[in-house]
Formats: sequence, structure tokens, C-alpha cells
Amino acid sequence: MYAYQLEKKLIEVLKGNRDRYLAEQALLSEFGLAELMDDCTECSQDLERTIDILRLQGYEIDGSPERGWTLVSLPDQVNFFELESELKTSFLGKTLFAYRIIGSTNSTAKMLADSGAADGTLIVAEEQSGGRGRRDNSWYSPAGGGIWASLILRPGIRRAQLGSLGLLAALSICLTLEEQGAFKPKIKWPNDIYLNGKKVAGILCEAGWLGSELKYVILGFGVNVNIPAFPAELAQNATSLSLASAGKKYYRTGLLSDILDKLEAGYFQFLADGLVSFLPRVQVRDFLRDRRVTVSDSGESRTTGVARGIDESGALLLEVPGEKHMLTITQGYIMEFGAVVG
Amino acid sequence: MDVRYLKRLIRIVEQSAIHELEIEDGGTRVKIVKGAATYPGPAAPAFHSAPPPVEVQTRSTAATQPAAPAAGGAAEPAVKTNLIEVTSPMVGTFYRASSPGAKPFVEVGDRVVLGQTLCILEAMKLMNEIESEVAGTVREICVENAQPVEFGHRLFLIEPGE
Repeated sequence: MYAYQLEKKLIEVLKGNRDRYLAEQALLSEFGLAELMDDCTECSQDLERTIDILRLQGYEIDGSPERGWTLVSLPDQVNFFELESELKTSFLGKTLFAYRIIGSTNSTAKMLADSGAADGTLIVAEEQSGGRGRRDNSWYSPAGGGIWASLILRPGIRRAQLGSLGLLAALSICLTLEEQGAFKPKIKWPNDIYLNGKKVAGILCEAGWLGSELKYVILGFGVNVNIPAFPAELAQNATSLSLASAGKKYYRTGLLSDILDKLEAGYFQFLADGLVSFLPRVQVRDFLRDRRVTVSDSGESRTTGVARGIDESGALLLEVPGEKHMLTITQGYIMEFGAVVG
Repeated sequence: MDVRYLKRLIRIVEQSAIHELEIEDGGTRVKIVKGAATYPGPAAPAFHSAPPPVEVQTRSTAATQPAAPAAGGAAEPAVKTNLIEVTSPMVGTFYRASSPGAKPFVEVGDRVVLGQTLCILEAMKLMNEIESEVAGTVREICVENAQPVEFGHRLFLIEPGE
């Protein structure tokens, strides 16, 4: 057995007994920590040392060997121990890699996927030094400011509808944010989430193919949670949950756990029949609906029209003057959008 | 006929699998033949990355002829039997580099190893990295950057070999 198993157990016990001080003797015998220590050659045999290790991880623990210990507050960190004790999923995040700092969770996920990492593996980081969006656009990912995460998925099938997996992730994030209070997040096709007209989260889906064989899909997402202010060049278009609620701080590990829970609940349904059963919930959160938008669908081509919803393949429907039928936009990005025109 | 338009046509032919293109526009007919008389023939020597020369014939005509088929790479048979075709596993947009300013993943004449990234196909918001199934030398890049491709569309010709 490894030292982290002792630490993990201690956190679980402290989390489960936050209303009281736990005496050293109770922790050792009643909660079985002495037994774990005995089995662990690399563990400190001094409980206070282990408490100190947790304090270094950001857990605020009050007490002493004489008074016993109690957990005062959880670390403002999405770390391994926090995830291990908070995740409710049975598939997503069962294997997990938690980094303090990383280039990009998606890039590391790809590397791990190529090395054989399991279906459902989660990669998270406190900070991304090179967070990415579509076509290598950068994604501002300061330390402790948000949820920067990627999942390795191996759906084992190749379907056109995999492209709308991002919409399922967007819906899962929206549902999670809505549970936090008065937030009314919207999905901006194809994979951003807007709050009060500004970007609060983004999704980057990447797939790896060996020739025509699908190897993996990386579902990456960034959620701006506790970012107190954005650099000037982003401030116009970006927001965070904190900024949208007068500076309130949110518990990121809990949010991530909820997002994964909702995603897992929908994932197998999605693999079976695509976006269909989620479409009504996506449509009521469609940010672009009835707005004038300009889409760049490939290369230099530009199309301007009025967005009229998202279809069951995940495509954007665009009403263009002079066109008899609605255009179905399956790729590209929104260059510009305006107010709702009705 | 607009010179810029003509240049654009030449570029399209150069970078595609199309061998010959004949087009008529407002009484002017242009025929572009790639690689002149030697095409189709042996592949370019290794490490030769310049595209084959393009011969342009222009003449005015009023005659109407059926337009040349707007053939994508998929419609063309492989030129050499020992070349491996890399085809598109989906409908999407073809990108030769990870971002607009970045260096392309591969150029004609580059040697590639098994699993090396050749291109990105964007379908919906899913960015698909296509890796080579074989080790060898890139002999042809059949699609222009940022162009739409269909399922089965030929993207690359690779000559296998270590």
C-alpha cells in the first residue's frame, strides 16, 4: 500500500466528520488509520506528519495531537485527493491525472491516449501554460481560476454524429451551472457557453485517426469559475462565474464532479442514438437563435444569415436571404453575431 | 480572362490530383496540363519537393464544349500502383497545419513514419488528426488547404518504404 492511500483515507474521515474534533486515538483505532500505517512502509508513523502533508495540499485543518483535529476548509485546488473523494461517476475519471501546471490538457490527453490510457481517463490541471481552443487559438487558463480538463474517450465506432459530442458536453456544463443559482447559460454553436453575453466556457473536441480507424476522441473543456478579472484584450468577451455573481467563489472540484456526472449519464445514450434525446434541452439554450450571424464554413467562404436553431445532427440552421431552403452549417465557426432580429 | 483567376486555376491544378483541366469562360478557353508530356510517369525523385511544371495553353474560342469534370481527388485512379492512398474517413474541411500560421504537417517529398500526423480534418467542431498508416514518402498532397472533402476523398499518395 502507498502513502496516498493513508492520506486519502484521512481526508475522507475528516470530510465525513466536519462538525467535531477527532481525537488522535479515535482516528488511529476507530477509523482504522493505525492499520493502514502498519501496512505502509513509506508512510510517516506520526499522524501529525500526515495532517501536515494534507495542509500542504491546501486542506485547512485545525487542532493538535492534544485537542484532536477538524477540517475547517477544503483546498481551493482541483487535485488528486479532492477528485478521488468527490467524483460520483463510475466510468469517467476512474483513471485520473491531476497536474499543478500543464501545457494543455488536450495535448497531454492525446499523448496519454497514444500510450494506451483507458477509456474515460480524466486529465485536469490547475493551470495551463498553453491552453488551446479551435485551430490553436489560445485559452486563458490561470492557476486556480477554472476547470481545465480533458477526457479520453474510445467510443469504438466512427459516426458522423461524434461531431456533436461537444454539444452534449456543453449541455452538461450548462445544467451544472444552472444548479448553482441564478445563472442562465446559453450554448453558442458549436461549442462555447455564454453567460450574460460573454464566454464562460469552451469545449475542444479532437479525435485521433490511424488512417481511417478511429483511435480516440479527446473531449476538452475549460470553465471560467473563479477568475477575478480578465486581461484587457479578453475582458470584453469573457466572463467567469465569480464575475457574474459579485465575486462569489465556487468549489471547482464539486462543479467538475457534477459536469462529469451529467456527461456520463448522457454519454451512452448519445453513442446509441446521437443528439436526438438531448436536442430539446440544447435548443432552449441556443444562444445564436434568431441572431444575425456570419459563418466562415471553410477556407475563405463567408455566409451571413439569421441563425434558426440546431438540428438533430448538431448542425446550425441558417436562413439566408434569397435562399429557398435553410442552409445546414456543419463546420466552421461564427465570425460575427448580432442582436436577436426576431 | 483575369490573370489572377488564371493563377488561381493553376494553383488548384498544381495542388490537386487533377492531371488536366479545361475550362471555358466568356469565350476564352483555357487548358491546363500538369507535368507536361511526362505525366503520368514515374514519381518525382526522392526529396524533390517542387511540384511538377505546369503547362498552360490559352486560346480564344467560341465553340461550346462540355465543361471538364469538376473532379475531386476521389474520382482519379491512383497514378502508380505501389502508392498508398490516404482517403478521408469523413466529410469535413482539410487543413494541412494545426493553425493558419503554422508549418504544414507534411510536404511533398517528406518521409513519414507510422503514426505521423498528416493533416487535420474539421467536421462539426471535432478536429480530427489523421495519422499515416504506413511509413514512406509523401508523393502527392491531393487537396488544397482549407478545402471541403467528402467521405473517401483522396488526401495523400504515399510511397511505402523505410
